[in-house]
Amino acid sequence: MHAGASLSSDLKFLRNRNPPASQTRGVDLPKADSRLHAFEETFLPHMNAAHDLARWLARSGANSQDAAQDIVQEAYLRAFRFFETWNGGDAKAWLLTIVRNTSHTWRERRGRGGEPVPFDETAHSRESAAPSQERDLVRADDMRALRSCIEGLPADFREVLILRELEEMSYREIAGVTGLAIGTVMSRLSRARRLLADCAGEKTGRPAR
Amino acid sequence: MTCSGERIELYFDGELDAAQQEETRQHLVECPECSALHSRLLEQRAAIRSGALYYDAPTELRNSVRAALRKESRPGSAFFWQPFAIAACLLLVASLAWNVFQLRSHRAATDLTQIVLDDHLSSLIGNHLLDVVSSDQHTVKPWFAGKLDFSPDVKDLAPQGFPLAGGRVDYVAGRRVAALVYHRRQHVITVFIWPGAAEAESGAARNGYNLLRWNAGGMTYWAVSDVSAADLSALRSLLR
Repeated sequence: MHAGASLSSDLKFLRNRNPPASQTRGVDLPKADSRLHAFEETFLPHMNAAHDLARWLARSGANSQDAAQDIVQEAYLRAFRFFETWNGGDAKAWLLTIVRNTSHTWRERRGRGGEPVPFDETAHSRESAAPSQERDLVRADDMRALRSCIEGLPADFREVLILRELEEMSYREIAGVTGLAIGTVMSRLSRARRLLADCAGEKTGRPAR
Repeated sequence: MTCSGERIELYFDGELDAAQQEETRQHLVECPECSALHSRLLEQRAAIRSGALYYDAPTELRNSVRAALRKESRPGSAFFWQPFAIAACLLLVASLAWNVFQLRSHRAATDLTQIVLDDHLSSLIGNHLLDVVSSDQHTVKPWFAGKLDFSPDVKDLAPQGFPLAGGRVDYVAGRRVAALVYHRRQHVITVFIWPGAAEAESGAARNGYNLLRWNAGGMTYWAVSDVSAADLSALRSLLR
């Protein structure tokens, strides 16, 4: 599901890079419109990544779903305002850096309201993005356990894990988004994996790692 | 190769260079312990990436982001007005700078008026009214040669009521200037001349004295006297 969505958005992104010239650079487009157009073309394809990161950084708090959406919207507006400062490099990494910063400001503004919340089974069963493809209850339980284990990771570890495993970024890219040294990314990622394996092993009763 | 969990993880993440990557791959075949670690990593990754944990952006979010961006780029939004605000600020700064400049140059001009007047007055108080006493323009004009780096126009205007009394060299605003002295009835008129025509003509009255400045032939003229402004204007017409 994720890989497919990501691939199709990437392909859409590639297609949109070369639209008919008349659509993008037409003289009939006012300046503000062409700026918006260029921005949307570059950054809208990365909205899944932006939302995924925001959602995981917001964790499982009661309003994490709404918070993630608000964060994404605010991050997009910020990115749009600072569009001129984007150096034309990796658009996804640039956007995720802004999403991450926005999440941090958001959390500070809310008095760290998104911090440790006990795992709430009912909240997760209502989850709109709940597993849709699972074949059996055992797998669904495993997924829930894994999800709650990741949510239970300290924020510093959770973010590198999400960027590496779900956003599939390299150490260097993660370092760019988080502002950490590559060595720190490496050690945090390793620690996150071990914590996650321990947690998942406990929850499912199977040794994970 | 010795067993290293760190190295297996780097291999797993594709962060080793090609040679090390290959070396580690070989090691995994031979080492059951490292191989088991690698398998657990793969399993964990497969679980995380199975798709169920990825939060795709909901359609409502896509719509609201697009709407927010539209609103942001529309006239009336802070962003839209920003260039205008910046332009307005620059204009304000330019305007302030221009005014300050004007004020300063006005003060400079005012100061020069005072200097010229003071020079005229001190020449009347002291005995340094004239360096060369002659009503003959052909005596006065050559006298300036060698004392100035320019040659002022010297005219005797006795027939028109402004007899030439002579001339002197003075220092005004850091440079040598020619000062011609004319009489008008019992009054003394000093006409300062120096090269450079910068500012517009102007007249001033201070402490009962009249001053008149004009430009002619690339020279700046200042006429100072206690005669009437009309007399100074008449002299200006004659000297031009």
